Amino acid sequence: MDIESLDYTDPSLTSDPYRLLDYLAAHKPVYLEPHHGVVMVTGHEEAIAVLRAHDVFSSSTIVAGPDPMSLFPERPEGDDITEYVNSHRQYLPQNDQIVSSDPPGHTAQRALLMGLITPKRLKENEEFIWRLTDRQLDEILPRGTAEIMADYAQPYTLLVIADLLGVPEEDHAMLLGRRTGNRMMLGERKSADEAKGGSERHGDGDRTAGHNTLEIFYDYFSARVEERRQQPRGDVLTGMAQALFPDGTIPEPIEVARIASNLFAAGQETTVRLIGTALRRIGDEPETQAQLRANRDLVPRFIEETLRTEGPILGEYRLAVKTTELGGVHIPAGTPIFLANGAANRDPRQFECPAEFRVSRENVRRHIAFGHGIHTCPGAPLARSEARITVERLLDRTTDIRINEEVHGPAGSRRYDYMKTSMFRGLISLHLDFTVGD
Amino acid sequence: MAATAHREIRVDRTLCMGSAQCSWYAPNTFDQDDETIAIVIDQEGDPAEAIQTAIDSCPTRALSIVAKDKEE
Repeated sequence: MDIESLDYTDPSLTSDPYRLLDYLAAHKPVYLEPHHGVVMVTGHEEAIAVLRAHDVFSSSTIVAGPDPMSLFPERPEGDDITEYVNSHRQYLPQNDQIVSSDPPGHTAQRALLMGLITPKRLKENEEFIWRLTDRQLDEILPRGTAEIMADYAQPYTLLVIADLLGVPEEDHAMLLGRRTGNRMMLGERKSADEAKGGSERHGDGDRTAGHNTLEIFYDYFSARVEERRQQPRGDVLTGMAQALFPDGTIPEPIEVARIASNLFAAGQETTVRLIGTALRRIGDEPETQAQLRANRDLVPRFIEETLRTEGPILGEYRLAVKTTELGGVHIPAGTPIFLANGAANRDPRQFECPAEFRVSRENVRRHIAFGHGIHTCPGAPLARSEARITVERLLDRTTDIRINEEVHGPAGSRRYDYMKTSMFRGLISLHLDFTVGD
Repeated sequence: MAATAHREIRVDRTLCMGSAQCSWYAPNTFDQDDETIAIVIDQEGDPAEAIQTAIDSCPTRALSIVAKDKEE
């Protein structure tokens, strides 16, 4: 079978997207694929080049799927469509979120997050993450078996970000309820695969409903921002409420609320998948588990290698707003780009034997699972902490972690269900069995 | 050392988010500690241009070059 002819948006590839992505990273790091006319960037060096050149490759279409130009009322002509795109952002999904913004607007929004979620701050508050980790592990460990995603990772990531932002416990259920039915993670609802169906795309009703899926949180966080300005507290939301734009102006509460909503919602889904993938490997590889049990200092590197080999983001979109060339491929303005982080992290020119999971990999931190450049994930330190502390506490409190064979089958022929999208890599469910220590 | 140390690269550890952008562009100048916070391993590990790119690419503006007193 000709690998190149596979359609990267085909949902049947989601059980193993790496067959295609690894091939492209190794042989066609910049590839104009034939099904949608999308330029797939799978090479590490090339991906970095795209992420750096944010004036050429706009983030406006980050979740708009493989045919973003069809969303605009006209087809802009010429070798520079920057102005057209900037004045028609309202036609694109998640257009009010920081992930889809470009400078100079992006620079101002990003300033509201400066210094708020940092390794240093999290280290100082590590005790609270440990407490929440143990609290959630108390729910699952006595049973001896659990479905990790729903029983642990989802509620856990919610508790952590809620605590960090200062969302009181009595509001958790309400916010969780708003989340249900709104797979808001970066507008996952309108992901590439679903766009293929086409029907969803044409009704005008769809343009409004779910276009900016985080709107459901805006009123809530706007009100909280105003409260924090009146009565500051020690939480991250207070830091955001008090932050100024770089020019010294005070943001409107809604401007802060949009970013808070993104932190609250977007970071969770990805962290949930990261935790699932890491624990699947611990359950699947007794040697790796033994290695980590013997030496907890390896856990951070284990998490990094998990991010590199199977990070939660397989890829996201960019739009070439200027005619350019990349890796020998001519890219006219208006060309959609699929920037495949999940492939670039397995580029053999950058990582030796890239498909191999090596806890001791020297250059593992050169992965771009959290992106690169101005849009680098601001929640990276938090995701790292949550994954690391989960693994550490789970190892501390158990003597053995195993894949549940009734659900997933025996070693060597496991069955796992992955999210059916070309943008994300993550288990839908993961059933683990534990032997709990004294 | 004193002759070349008029300028010093500083890392604001409270701002650094551990993105590793700096060690990407100037790998002989920057590294990360165990908490993924940027550290300077050699003030002049890379060409000045590479160091400036590293500083400019920091997403949280945690890096700066400051003039340093000669007596220090």
